[in-house]
Amino acid sequence: MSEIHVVPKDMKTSIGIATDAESAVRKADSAGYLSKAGAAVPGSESVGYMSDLGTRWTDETKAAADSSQKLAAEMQKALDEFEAADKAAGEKGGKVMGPN
Amino acid sequence: MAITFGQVKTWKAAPLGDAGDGLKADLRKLETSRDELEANGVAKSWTGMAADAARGHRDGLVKDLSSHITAKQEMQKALYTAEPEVEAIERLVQGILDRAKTQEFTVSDDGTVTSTATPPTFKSRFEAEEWGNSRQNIAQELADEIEKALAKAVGVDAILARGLPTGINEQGDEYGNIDPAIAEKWETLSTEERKAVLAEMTRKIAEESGVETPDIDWDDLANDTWDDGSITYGYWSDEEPTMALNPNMLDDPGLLINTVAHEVRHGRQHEAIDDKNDWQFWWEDDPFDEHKEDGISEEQAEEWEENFDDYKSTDNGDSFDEYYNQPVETDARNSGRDYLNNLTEEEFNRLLEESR
Repeated sequence: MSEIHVVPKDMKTSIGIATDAESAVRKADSAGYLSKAGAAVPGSESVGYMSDLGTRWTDETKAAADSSQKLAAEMQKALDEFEAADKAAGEKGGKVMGPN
Repeated sequence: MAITFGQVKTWKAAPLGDAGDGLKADLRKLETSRDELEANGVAKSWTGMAADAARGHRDGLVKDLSSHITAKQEMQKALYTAEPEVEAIERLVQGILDRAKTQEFTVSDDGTVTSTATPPTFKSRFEAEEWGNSRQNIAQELADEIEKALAKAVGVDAILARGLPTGINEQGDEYGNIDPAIAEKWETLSTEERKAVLAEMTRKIAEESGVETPDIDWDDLANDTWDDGSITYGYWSDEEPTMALNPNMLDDPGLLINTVAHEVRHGRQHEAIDDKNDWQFWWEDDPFDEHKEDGISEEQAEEWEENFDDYKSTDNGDSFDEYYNQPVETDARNSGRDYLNNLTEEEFNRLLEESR
């Protein structure tokens, strides 16, 4: 059985990083730029592929943003569970140590 | 489908640069996110099974982002490379249209130059001929400039095609992508010059492969066109040897250059099989050594020999997939793709010079 160790401050920092990444990545699909570039050179064969590439980039950034969100949620859940366990242990300790 | 002058007339460089700038800004966001996730996306102080799982999750995410970033960087580079080329096209087009207007010509969308000037009254036949000749010369100069603009446009298309990641342009993935400068140069060559440079290319590849230079047959596939939905680019016949190339493909340098390397590779396969089966005294050099030096193993040559003994062809009732996936075709296809991808402008110009 592995040892479980959690430092809430570090966890909160990492949750913030994953949450920021979700938001930044979701806004950076770049597909719109490809459409504009394609419209500037009509008739070229590569224009036909720009829209496919734009779709791929949208899918990829959405998947990465969703994945960041999930990572943040995993860490938040672990932190919540730790804090709940810590609180419960504190309450139990209080009963043992406190007045009858 | 070829790019027309009517289309090139509307090309604009600025949106390509703007798109490149947009990608650059997005790339900054993506790289920052990727780097921060990699460094602190999962708290280092967090241990346990859930922490290990989160780290695995984070590593996969970082890998996906890195691959996405690499593809985007390639396209950003392509857009920035294409921008000044399109600026040059814009200047060329403006020059053509201005001159045409000043000199009383029109240029149609298909690039045809037509004089709209009313001929003056001439005092002599000589004067009339001189006027006609000067009009003809201007029209020719305009036509040459149009050809130059269209050739540049083909080059720009090739620049952008090279910026596409794998899996988007299946033909490019399979057959390779031509150097944009070669694509541009090709547009300016006559049919005879194109055939000559391909002949020189064939000679050079054959020489480097230790294969006898084949005769090129441009006639046998002349009636083979895209009309029925498929086309044969070329084939190799080891008797003589002969290589047939399809003249209907002369407007597609990428496919033809690929085909030359592909077909000569079949010659190399036959050569490797012959050398593998060659018998020599112990003190004689093994002719197969030259193939080994180029990364061809005896096992590979054996596989090719068996394959040629049971060659799959749609002409014999085999399926296209059986034809396509047999070892000799897979190997030749890889050779064609690698040759096209690695052919530089300098090497092409050298071949062109030597073909003249």
